[in-house]
Amino acid sequence: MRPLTFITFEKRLEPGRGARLAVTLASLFLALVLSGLVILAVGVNPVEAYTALFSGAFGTLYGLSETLVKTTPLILTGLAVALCLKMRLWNIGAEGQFVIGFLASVLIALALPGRPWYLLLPLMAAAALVGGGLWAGAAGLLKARLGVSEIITTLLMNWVAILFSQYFAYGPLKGLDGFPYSPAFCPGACLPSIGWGRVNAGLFLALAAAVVLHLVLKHTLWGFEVRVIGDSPKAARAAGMKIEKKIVLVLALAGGLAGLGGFVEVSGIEQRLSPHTAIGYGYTAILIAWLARSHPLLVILVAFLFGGLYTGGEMIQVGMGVPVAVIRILQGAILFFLLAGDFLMNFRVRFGKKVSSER
Amino acid sequence: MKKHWKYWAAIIFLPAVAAASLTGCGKPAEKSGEQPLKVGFVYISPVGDAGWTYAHDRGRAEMEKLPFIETARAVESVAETADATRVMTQLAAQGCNLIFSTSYGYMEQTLAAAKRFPEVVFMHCSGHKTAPNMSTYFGKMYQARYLTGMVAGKMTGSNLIGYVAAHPIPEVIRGINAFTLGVRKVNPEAKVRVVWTYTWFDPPKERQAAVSLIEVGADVIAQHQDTPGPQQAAEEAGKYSIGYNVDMAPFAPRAHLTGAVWDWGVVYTAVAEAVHEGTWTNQPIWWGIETGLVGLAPFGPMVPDEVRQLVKAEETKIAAGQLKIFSGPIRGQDGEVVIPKGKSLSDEELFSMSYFVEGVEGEIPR
Repeated sequence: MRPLTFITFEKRLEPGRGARLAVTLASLFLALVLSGLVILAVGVNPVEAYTALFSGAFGTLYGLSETLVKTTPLILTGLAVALCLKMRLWNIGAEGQFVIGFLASVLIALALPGRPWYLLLPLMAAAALVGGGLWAGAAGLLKARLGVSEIITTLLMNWVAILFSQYFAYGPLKGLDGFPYSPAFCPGACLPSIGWGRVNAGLFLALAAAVVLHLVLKHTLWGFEVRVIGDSPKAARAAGMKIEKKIVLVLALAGGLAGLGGFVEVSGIEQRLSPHTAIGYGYTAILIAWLARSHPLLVILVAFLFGGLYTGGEMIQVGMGVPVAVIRILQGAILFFLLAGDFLMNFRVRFGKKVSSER
Repeated sequence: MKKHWKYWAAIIFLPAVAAASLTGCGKPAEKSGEQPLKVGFVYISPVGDAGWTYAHDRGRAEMEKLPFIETARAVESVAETADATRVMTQLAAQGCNLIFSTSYGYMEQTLAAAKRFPEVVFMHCSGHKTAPNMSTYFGKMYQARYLTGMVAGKMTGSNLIGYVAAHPIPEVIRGINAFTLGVRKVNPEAKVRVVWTYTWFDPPKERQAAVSLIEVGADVIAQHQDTPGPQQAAEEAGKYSIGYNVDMAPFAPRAHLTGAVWDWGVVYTAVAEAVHEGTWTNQPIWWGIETGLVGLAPFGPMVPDEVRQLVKAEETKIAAGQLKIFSGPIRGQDGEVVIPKGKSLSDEELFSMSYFVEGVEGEIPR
């Protein structure tokens, strides 16, 4: 006999595509209605606020360019989480891997000042890839060899990475004025702009990474094995797949992707080291990967929407003087409703005494 | 299932009713004035109920009372990254003709925005870079810190004073040194122990740092942080505290001795008037205790009269320019003289201070 419970959840049948889309849109709508009430409560017309959000993020050339600037690192960190999710691994450490990639790029750029871009950019990218890869690969090794939960190790290593990078900002790379900012990069260490605001070549790198990852997962034996291990480790083992080796490789590759995110952010946008390299791209990535169902191409779309939510949220503050807390409520509500909608789509909720299992 | 529509209805409509009952204000900002000024502010953290950004926001509100101000809008929690450039660009694009950025980490971003919008006046708090349409503003907070140090030095029993400090940058180091000079002026035996949090705004972390200082014997907690977290830790442990930014006594009524506080309205009102009248120049603002930009919070009831009078007398001397805090002889942490007798530090030297004076226990990362 199972104990009586007030609320029970039953797994539903796999919903179709149309149902998924409908639930997602309904969730978004409910989130906007709820947040609208909060916006109303601070004395602003919610319709005007949402118009400002949308046009601020997507409606003007400048806004759209800034949304793409925000999207670029989010795609790469989103992929870093999505790839691991394909194998049922939780990479909570994209934040730290991003920071390591950022730092590695800075060190190369500052060690070789004045060199041409064709030397510097590939070196910086490679350093970021390897740095992030080693950082996450270490967690992979612990998981594969000792069975240590990657959730814990990747998460904890974030703070190590952040402190490591802050050490350089406050220590050896500190500016002459005593402020924790490294010297700015030489032109050769900066990703070229595409001539539209601050959008730079990093966007294409991120898009290419997503497409390549999609093709690899879908059309190669390696990708097939990753998916099989994710769906059924027992079957994979029975088929003779080397799961341990895959764990290390997948985490290392994911770390490399997040590290590349750090590279595009520093080389394309920041162009110096500061103590504020970790501003949440790696954590937002977890939500992005989840909502994109770890599909690399969907990651692009979801990252774009999150970028827009961010720049658009700023615009409501700038244009209407809405406090940041309201923006946070709006962003939180959207996430909450999307995740709740996702859950309710897969599970049926029953109130009252549990009877169905006895049937 | 069909019985449960009531739950769902309640979940959806209760907040609606609650929110609707709160709705109200939203009055249009219509003020007279020939050349209305639209002012934008960039904040590092939420306004909250005490601390750095709260102090700036009070100054903003005071400035907003000027008749020629059309709007004075603030964007909160802007990261000290390239995000700040976008926020300032958007503020300028929305028609702001005066923009204040209120953290040192916005220095390059403010400079970039100033280049892009040459007709907009940019004022950057606590930095050192200027442009034809950009200047800096800051106050000699170290004067107030020195005075609070005297109070702490008089009130400590264990001769160990804890100092919860945000970032090892010249501004914070200058404050710790001035505070320590004040402490040692009245109590040469006392030491000031510093803990870095590497964050301006993180209430639990700030509080935890204060707790760790209390655990090693500190009985007065001072802070260079943006929240009252350290004050609350002192209050709970039954120790004393020295506040910062605004009067923090409400958060620690039994602990709060006094505090070093800002009145940003002094600067914001003056700058807005200068811009409005066309007399603004990019001469940096670096004002002292005599202007009221920096000062002391009211003394707590536990501070004896004798101490109050001692501090007030010193304050009068500083305000009159008779007492310079960083004038020699002053020794460094290792006992070597860093400021020889007869010399006092120039503003440039104050702005790049990167060493601790004698009596500070702690390290500046190299």
